[in-house]
Amino acid sequence: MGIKELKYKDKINGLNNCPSTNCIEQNKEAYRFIKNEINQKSFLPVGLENPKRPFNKDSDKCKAYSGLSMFENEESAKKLYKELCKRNKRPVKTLKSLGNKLAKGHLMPIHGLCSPANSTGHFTLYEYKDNNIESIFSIIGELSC
Amino acid sequence: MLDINGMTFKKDFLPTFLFIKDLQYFEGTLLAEYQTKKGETYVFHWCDCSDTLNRWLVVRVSKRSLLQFESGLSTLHNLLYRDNLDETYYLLDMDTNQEIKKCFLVQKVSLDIEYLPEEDTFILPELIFDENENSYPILIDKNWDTDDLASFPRKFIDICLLLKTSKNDIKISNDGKWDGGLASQSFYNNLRRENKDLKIKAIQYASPGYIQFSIEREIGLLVKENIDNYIENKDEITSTFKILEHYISHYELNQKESKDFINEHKDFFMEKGNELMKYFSEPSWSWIIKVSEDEFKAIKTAMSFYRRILFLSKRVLDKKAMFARL
Repeated sequence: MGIKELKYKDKINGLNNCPSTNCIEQNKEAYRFIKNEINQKSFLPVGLENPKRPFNKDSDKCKAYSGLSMFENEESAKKLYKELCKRNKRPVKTLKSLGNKLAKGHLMPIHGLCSPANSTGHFTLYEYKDNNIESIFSIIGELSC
Repeated sequence: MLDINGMTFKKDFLPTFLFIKDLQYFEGTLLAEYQTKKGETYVFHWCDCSDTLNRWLVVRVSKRSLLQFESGLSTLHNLLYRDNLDETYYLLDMDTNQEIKKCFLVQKVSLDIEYLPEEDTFILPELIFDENENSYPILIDKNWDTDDLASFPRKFIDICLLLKTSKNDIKISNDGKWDGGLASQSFYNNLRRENKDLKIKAIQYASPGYIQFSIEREIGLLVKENIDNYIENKDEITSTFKILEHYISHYELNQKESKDFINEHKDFFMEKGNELMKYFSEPSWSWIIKVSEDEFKAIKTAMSFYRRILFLSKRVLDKKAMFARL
């Protein structure tokens, strides 16, 4: 089997420790914020979308240009969404960013490298090339503020 | 994006904003700290967006109110709306390359409420993705005399050093003779020599002011936890300490030349040491015993820890010091 290549490898050239060496292939459920419906655009790294917000550190740039934001469980995803609604009301409510639906999928080692989840269950997936990650996700509900 | 009830102006009239750090981050900056060349502090709050632009609410704040927010002692709403320094805000529309496309000056009273967070929103630790956070602030208030102000950071650093040593399970070198406070001071001086990076980062003496330390946030929070532990159990802890103090004085243990006396008092030290430390989160009595040369030195380490926590706790109870809680 050949070396697996990251899908957005060319976007992160020159960034230090990207993705970090503690990212590993995993077999687990994943939840992601989605805008309206699932399509290829729903799984674009946020740094490739417009308009971008600033990514100031190399570690932020790494996640933004090659990673996908995910959660390990439904509760964590919904809880963080509510917190974001309270802080950045307009951007979250107007759906120009973040999304309004929650999608669920089951990640396998073939899909890419997962960063360790933080205390809220958030982690970043660095997708491998030639994946159709959108095909393993389906919408499970609305996100509400 | 919402229509703005304010005045537009050219971006040339804006001060130069230098990025300091992200305060809250999720898939890009949500809230960030900036500084002008004049040293003024501004926060940029992501408040709106369109298909092509992000809008930022730009607010001038004091360093202290920012530290209050960062410490979990004040809300985001207070930082942006109650404690801000001007009667006007900037609203900046920036494109995907972070270039300013439009600037507005808005009166505070005219700002759309949708651009402000809910009133009960504190800083969210989950949205701080800074793995290298090594700063811990303490806010200071009311009147401080010079001695007090000099001792306070020193005692805080002493506790941090002990907790850092305990967390990393490092053997402590307290091989000097314990003789009242002097030897305990030299014990902490040794710890300080081994941890030169732990120091004061910034200080503003004016009351209300703040002291910021270069220390892992986690250690600073552990000091706060121990202070809270003390305040909650102060009667029990003080009573054990007084018994120990009286016992050591009664048998004149500080004045003993050889270590022969230790065996005779060992059981008492073990019992009271455990009793004194059981209320604190860390260091544990078992760790102190493990890294100490003998039971007497262990009890003196526990007592020196208590004295420093007591000193810091008194300033908290007098509302002279507020420790970051997040």
